[in-house]
Amino acid sequence: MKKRAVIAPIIGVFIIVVVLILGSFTPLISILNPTTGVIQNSRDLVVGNSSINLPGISSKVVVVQDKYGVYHFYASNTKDLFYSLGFMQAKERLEEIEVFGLEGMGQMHTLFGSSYLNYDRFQTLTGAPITAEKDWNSVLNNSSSNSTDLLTKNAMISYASGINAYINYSESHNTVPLLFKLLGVKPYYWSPVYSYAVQELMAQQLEFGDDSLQFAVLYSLLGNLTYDLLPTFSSVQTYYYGGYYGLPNQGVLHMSHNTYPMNSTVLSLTKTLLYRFKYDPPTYFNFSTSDHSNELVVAGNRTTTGYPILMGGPVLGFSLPAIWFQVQLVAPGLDVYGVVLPGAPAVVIGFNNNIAWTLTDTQAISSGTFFFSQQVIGDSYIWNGTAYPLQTYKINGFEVNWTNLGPVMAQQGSTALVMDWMGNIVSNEIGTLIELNSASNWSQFRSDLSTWIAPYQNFAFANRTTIADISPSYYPIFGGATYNPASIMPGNGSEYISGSIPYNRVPQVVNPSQGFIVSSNQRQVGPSYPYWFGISNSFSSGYRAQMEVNYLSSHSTVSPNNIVSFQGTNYTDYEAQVAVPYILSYLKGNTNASVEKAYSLLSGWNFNMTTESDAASVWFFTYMYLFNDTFFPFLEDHGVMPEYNTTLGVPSGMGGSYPNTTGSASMDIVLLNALVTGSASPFSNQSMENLVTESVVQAMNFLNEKYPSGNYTWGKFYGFLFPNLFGFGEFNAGPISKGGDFNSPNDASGVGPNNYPTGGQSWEMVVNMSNVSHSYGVYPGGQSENPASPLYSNYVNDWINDTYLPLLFYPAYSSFPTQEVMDTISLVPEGSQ
Amino acid sequence: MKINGALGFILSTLIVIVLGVALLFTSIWYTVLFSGLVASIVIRRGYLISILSSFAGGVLGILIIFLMLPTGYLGPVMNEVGAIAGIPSVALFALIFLINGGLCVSGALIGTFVARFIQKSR
Repeated sequence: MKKRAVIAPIIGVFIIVVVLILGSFTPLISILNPTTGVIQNSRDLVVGNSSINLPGISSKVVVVQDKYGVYHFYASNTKDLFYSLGFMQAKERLEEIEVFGLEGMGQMHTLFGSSYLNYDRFQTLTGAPITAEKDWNSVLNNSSSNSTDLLTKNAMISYASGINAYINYSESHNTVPLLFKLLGVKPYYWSPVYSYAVQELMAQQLEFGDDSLQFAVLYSLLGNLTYDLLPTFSSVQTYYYGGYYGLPNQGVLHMSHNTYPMNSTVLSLTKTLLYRFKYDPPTYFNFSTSDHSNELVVAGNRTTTGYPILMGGPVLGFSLPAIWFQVQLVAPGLDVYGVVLPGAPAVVIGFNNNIAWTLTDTQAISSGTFFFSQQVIGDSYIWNGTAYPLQTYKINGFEVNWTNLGPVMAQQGSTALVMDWMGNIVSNEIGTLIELNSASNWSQFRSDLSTWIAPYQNFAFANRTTIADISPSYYPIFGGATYNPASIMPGNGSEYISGSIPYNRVPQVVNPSQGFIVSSNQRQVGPSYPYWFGISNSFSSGYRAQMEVNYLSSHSTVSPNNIVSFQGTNYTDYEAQVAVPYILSYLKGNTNASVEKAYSLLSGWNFNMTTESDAASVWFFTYMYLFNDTFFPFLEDHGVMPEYNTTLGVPSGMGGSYPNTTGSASMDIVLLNALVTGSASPFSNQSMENLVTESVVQAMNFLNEKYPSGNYTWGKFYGFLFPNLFGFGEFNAGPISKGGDFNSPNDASGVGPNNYPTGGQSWEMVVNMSNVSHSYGVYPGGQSENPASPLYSNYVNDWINDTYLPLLFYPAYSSFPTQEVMDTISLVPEGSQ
Repeated sequence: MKINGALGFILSTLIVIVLGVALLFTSIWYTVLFSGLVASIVIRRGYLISILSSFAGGVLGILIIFLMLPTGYLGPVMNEVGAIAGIPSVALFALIFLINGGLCVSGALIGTFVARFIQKSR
């Protein structure tokens, strides 16, 4: 045989070898495989009627996707209902669900590699994964005697089966979501423990923090001046939905001003731990605690419909896909509409035929996270002079030691910092929410909430005759020595958590005489409340809540449309409303050209942070410079700045709106008080006139340098960015300009171009109790997590434009008008037609 | 029966398409090389026709797979993958065609060699 004859087959073999190498060393061959690769995922995007045979359901479930993309599940029993919810939610959001589960369980490195080990170590250390396991075991163990646990167990198992059925379905149909195909991994099977990890994650994101560590460091540097910088009670808040107006409770005040002194070892540990809090926490769904939420409810005698109206606007970090998934769940005994989380089968915020409810964060009591300095020697900890063995957990490849107070977060020699986080109390909030979903009156609603532990939430409630609000949670009462719980406490047994505020004494109100309730993260109870409930830096400054109170007080009646319009487009800044007249008085008569220009703009301003307002920009940056000029020299003189910039952050006003800063509600309050009283003492010896004039000049210089044309409207700085959850910038939406600021209902911290807000009202809902079918809502995102889907970000523009969508609420699929239906999906038991 | 060049090309292409698409559904992409191999052994019209028909068959086979998909969503999905991978989606499409065509051609090269070997052995 001639040598030339073998060239052709050698080339053939060479091509095969090249393709084999390509397939072995890159994911290209599996990704591009025509029958199993990514192109098959296009089949998953089809919107149309379909029928899917599934194992695990006992009878047909009809899922109507309405013309807005919302899923309505109609099942003949709750088991099939939760199964189908799991299946359909996974179909649209499997990537998100799985990442949520891993994040909560501290197992991110299993999907994203070793770069996430730091996060996983920190997450494991906090105790969240351990508590998630305990939560589920508690439900299993108590399900024979506790009806909520039995209900929860059945719902959780069905929901997990539904998610897993979708994983199997997608694998057999080659439509496993792109993230998994691109990473070359298989989705893991869901279990209820992951659902509790999501519960822990939410508690962690909403009610978990290092406030006490920060306070301890500040106290070590400022001494008693810390109480001036971070006062216990606000000097400007005037509305407390739960009452207790009057003089400060002296016992509480004494406790707040009795900070446990730290030695150098504890200080060193505190710095280490602060660093971990700042740099180890998660990349995904990192909800900033400086973000705020809105809730208000108006009684029937103040509405045009004659029945209550409830408004909800929980502020969370934005992402695409969004955190919420919008559904109606219908089965015998249950007909509820609202939004659910990835991985948890309960409507968190919504309504049923009888009631409506919404949630905001209470932001009370140091975010439910307390730190103790405790002695740990070898395998033992010391409590009241006695050594007890540490409890050691081995989880996720890490070892965590617990004392009687909680996990040892940092240790040097025999000195340890131990964290007592209320999220680590075994609890079943998902079960509570499932119960709430079918509650029919206030008494039942309130009773269901009595077992709520964490995260600390305000629950606004409305039915046709009652409006109410309650902030149920496990709020600790401290026994023994009464050192300030807002700082590190002694962990030797002299101070301890002796119980919690009794349920009938937690903040709550029913049908108040003024005919409305506002609970938008402001402190719920006044200074005379007999329990230690946190310091002013913990809560929102209360400006947004006060603006909402002012609006409702000044309108004798409101309609649902009024409330929609108020929530979406009222950009009044209450802080500006109070501060600007004082600022103008300090500027009056000043002949500096910049000051005159600012004076002219501010004096004609209506305090609205509209996109086209120049005055709004002048106010915002004047305030920022005033904040810096008042506090920074003081903090520098006392060694806080710049030494602690990396651990405490650089403080700024309005929730840290200025780039690379951290918000401080207390300092916001102190600054407004300084403007009103005319004295910045003890922080600055300068007169307020000097401070204000200087800050106005700085603001005008900044604005003129940035926009020499003089066109520096607020819309150039404020707008919203909706980032892709997985960090792919190509799939971000925005930034899109919109009015408002940190103090308006449409609130978020941040200013462009380098710090656009990436959070805000994550689910805007207005429920009309005269007929809940005439309710409205929207969230910024879309039902699908797939950027290629037309339902990926279709609500973003609606949210930006304040186009609230009708919340279609039909009791049966047969009553759904055809023109309201996008598609209908029948989930039928395997083997049946 | 004597098969001329044009008829050989058409028949070979058809074999590659039918067999290739069937083999794609085994989910093992590499197996499509057998479509080129079998067509070359059956038709036996030399390297040129074998290579051309195998490549054409490979490309048309992929087009048939594409036609089975909801075309309105194929582009967006590939744009998404391209954006994540940092490769233009057009390049990803081209790679699919090239890999499938290449595998069919490699089969054809080996098949034609085998066919000639068999012929000479006789």
